[in-house]
Amino acid sequence: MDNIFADKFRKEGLLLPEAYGSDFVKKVFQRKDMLFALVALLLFIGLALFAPLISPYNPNTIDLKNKNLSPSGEHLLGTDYLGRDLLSRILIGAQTSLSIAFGVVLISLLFGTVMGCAAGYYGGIVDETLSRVIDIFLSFPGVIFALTILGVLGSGVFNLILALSIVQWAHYARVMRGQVLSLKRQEFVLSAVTSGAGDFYIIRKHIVPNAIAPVLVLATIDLGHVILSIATLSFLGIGLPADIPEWGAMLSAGKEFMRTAPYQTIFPGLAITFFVVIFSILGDGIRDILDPNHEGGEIY
Amino acid sequence: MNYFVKRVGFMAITVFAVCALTFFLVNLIPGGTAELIIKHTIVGIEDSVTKEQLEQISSRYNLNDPLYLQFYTWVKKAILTGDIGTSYVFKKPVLYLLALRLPATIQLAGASMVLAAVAGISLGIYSALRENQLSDHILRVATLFGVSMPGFWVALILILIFSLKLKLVPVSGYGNLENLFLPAVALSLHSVAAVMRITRTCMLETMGQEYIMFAKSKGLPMWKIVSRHALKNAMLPIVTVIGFQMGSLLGGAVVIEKIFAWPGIGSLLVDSISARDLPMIQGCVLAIVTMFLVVNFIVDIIYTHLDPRIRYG
Amino acid sequence: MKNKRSTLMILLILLLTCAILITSGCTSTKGEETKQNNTSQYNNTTQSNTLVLGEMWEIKSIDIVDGDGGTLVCEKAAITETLVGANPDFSLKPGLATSWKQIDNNTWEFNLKNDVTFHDGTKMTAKEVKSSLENVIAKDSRVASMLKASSIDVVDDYTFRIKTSELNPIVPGVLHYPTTAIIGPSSFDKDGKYVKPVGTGPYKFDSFDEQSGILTVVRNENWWGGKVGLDKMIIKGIPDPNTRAMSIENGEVDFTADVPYSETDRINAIDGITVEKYKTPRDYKLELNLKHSPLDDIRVRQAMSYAIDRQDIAEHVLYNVGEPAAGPFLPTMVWANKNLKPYTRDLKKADELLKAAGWVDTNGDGIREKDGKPLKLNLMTYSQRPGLPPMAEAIAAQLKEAGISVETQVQEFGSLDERRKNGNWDLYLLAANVAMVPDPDYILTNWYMTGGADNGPGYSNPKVDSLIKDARKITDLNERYKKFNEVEAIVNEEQPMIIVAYYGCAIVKKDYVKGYVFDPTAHDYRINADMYIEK
Repeated sequence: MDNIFADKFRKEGLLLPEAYGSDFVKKVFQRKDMLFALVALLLFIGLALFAPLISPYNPNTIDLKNKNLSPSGEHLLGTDYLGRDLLSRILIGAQTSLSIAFGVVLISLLFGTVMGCAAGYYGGIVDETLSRVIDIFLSFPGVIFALTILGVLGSGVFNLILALSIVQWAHYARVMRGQVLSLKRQEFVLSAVTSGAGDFYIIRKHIVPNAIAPVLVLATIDLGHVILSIATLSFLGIGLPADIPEWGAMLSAGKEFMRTAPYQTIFPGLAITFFVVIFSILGDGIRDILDPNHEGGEIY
Repeated sequence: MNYFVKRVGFMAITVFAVCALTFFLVNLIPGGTAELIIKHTIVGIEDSVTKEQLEQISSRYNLNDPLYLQFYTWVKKAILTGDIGTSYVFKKPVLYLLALRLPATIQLAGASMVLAAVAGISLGIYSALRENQLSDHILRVATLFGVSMPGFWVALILILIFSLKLKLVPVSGYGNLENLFLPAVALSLHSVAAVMRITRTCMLETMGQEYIMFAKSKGLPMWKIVSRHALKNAMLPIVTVIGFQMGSLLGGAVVIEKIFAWPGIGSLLVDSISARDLPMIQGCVLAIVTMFLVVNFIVDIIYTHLDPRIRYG
Repeated sequence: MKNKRSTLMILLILLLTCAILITSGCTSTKGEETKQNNTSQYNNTTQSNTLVLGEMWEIKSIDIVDGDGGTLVCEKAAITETLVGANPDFSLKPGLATSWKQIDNNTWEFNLKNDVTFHDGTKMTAKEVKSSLENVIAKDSRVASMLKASSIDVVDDYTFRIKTSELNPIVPGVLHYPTTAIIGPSSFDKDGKYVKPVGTGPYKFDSFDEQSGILTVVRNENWWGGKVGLDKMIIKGIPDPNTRAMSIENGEVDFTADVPYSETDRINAIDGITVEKYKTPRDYKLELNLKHSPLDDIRVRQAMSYAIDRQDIAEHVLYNVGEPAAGPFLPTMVWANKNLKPYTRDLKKADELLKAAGWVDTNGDGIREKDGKPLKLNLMTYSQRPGLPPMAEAIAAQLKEAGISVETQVQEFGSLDERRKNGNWDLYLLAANVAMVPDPDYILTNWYMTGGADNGPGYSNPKVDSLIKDARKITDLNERYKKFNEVEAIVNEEQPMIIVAYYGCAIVKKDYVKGYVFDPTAHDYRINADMYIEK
């Protein structure tokens, strides 16, 4: 599998350092869909940051007598099965969901990049070993893997981030390794090596900046996928403690009320969907700009 | 040929490592294995477990041995006799249970793949031919939202629409084609979208080529141009994308099987994990990982075969 | 160009293979007969008297000693019957045994019905009963530990004796447990391997499709009890409550239990479907760790009990599938202490009790303190029973109003057990069975006696211990129950565990299913022989 990827990237030559900088920003602004996604993302982040200020109720206040309410003037999005205000929970939930998503992507990106760099750059036995490890992590169905790890660690926001990172890092490592492999043969790297530059210097100065583009694309799309994974894990019974508002957990808890009080699934579900859509568009857009010739197909 | 031998060797190593990883990971989950087995097979989950029961189960399944020894015994038996254990919960050979459950999962994943290929390619072609027209936009927005919704939510909405509102197919069950319809649709959504995207992109690319223009100017009917020329050239990436969907299909099957009470190995695996049914977990993981690796291997072979530029070193 | 052509070929071959696999899977796994059933299940236009049952657990095995197998075969499939039956008030009544008595401290004698035949036509005598019981004792350690039988002796064709290793008053009660139901010798093959349940009940085993987990039973024309209502019953496991609800709504099953509680009223309103809510012998109870400092104070425990609004929980969390609870036993049980009333919410009383115990909110943050230490507790529970996580949240919110801060944690069973063993917990909310066998001794011993198997709180009261021990020696039931009532009164006062609510069961059935009678002594629900279909 990795051979294919290495070749694929070599063939495509994803080396467009000049796309960085002002040109990149200009291109983003030329694309309507990305502009829309960026505005929506900023809105989301803004809501998450100011959630405690703008949410009308305490998201954890239980009011059993006012459970399963439909949207009304008092509760703009209605209430959930314990009478908690849905709008407040979704607003505060944005904090949880966003921080988990960014946490997972950050950790797996850092770790995966380091591993991928090491494998691709040093080659030989290092590459063989790391590639096998990456293969093992990739051949495991992600959901099951995360489920088992969470079983070991127990539930909780931090453990969730850790478990999903353990599952995700190998994807970054694989892409990074492919990139590094093709870069290694480029002249500017070879000349750096012959001029006696240190490994770390070469990796930092020449490899990473030139190889990071597809990794960033993957990371952007992944931000949405993490949110979907949390929802799936909640559905399978290992999610977050019930008192923590999080979109996936809310959606999963609300599925029992899909017929009687559908708003409990509709609003968190829509929040998740929009979030994923935003990052799909952004990821796709970034890829388009950095690599106009890729074969992945447009998301939108 | 050397490459293939190496590949198969690596596959074996990967399968072994995944099994080892699973074994030790599952044993790390808090709570005594014997105790959980008893709770899931003899007494209820809330009921207390007696010392005698603990001793009985522990000695029956050699749970008092150190972990490495338990794993070693399992591997030895698996390699020497092909016996990968007996399920604690079902009390039947794991291989027998896998043979019962695997067809259901293959059926589901296979149907989803067929759906993904057929629907994805045709929608992709349609979308490409109608580039930037309203129907193209609607289709693309619809798939974008379709893949961005959590899988189980989509599945439940599909049940509400197709079973309860339209009364077209049953809610759950297994055995008939009508039972297969909803789970397969729900499972294939992501793959349909992926195949559709790649088809659309590739079609647009090839449709712009000179020889297609030439064929058009010759007055060939559109369907002939598409099927004879454009689609053929777009096939390579499409096949690859379809192949790589296998992994996501197997992962998604876990959730879909749970919702539709589909007797496959995905749901079996999840249940086995909570019941700490180690031999069953190992068996399921073994089956899933092997399937995944074999499919990827086949895709690789097809890919190499199709693209002469790729040669293995 | 050659390569492109082969691409199409390969794709075609792949698709074909998939298609073949799918169709073969459909035809090979199912016989012609079951296929017909499936269509009829779905279209629901059967003329015949066939009931499709949506069972709440996945059907893994039909061996009576395997997990849920015993309950399934005896209570839900009605293939087998137990020696001892039970009335709705949990008092015992004759089953396959007509009468029983304790002849001495270690011996129970049972007389059998003399007109019972197994489904294969052989007569049921003491010999078959002995080997059936011995099979269960050998394979099911729980039955063995409850029965404490040292030997089973055949006296004559219709009489046998059970010798127990120690004084055991609950022997008849244990023989009501579904796993002890009597199976005939032809349930086993020549090598003694179990093949299928051959019982004495109103329905005969017909087939079990291991792949889809569907069990089919047919009417036993020669049932000793008389006429059997249904021709056939198809039992399929649908573990997800939502799916069960949608299945009965869509007409795929005729009878099911425990749809999501919140859905009960909506489904009941649907034309042609009725939802009936019953109490079952299971308690939602909150165990308090008496080894942890504030909880060892009886006033704090009572205050907590007063702070919990049982009525609100039953109504809004359980949707009335369940009721506020007083003592551990259902008030309908013959041995229950009928004088006990559920604690009703009284925040003033709770406040007084907590103040008396020294817990006052001094810094105005809504949480009480004592010696500068805030009153903070953790509450753990699990998600396998759908009522528990929301109930934990509700309890936490209600306790907070009384100034007690509670942090809830929903955990997997493994880590839960580990925490219980370490003692690293304050509150534990669970749903525990109170009539595994219809006798109070078993529960009171396990829950409240010093060192009892389910005495999670670590409760120890010499008075309670001696009352339970005394009761064991009394054969007169009413005298025995008096002692037990006293125990119930004491623990109700001392609240080592707060019994929050009685567990409920929602029976959902099509209106054309007639003759169903709910049996509270069943472990989930019991299919009775009188059930029939009238369209």
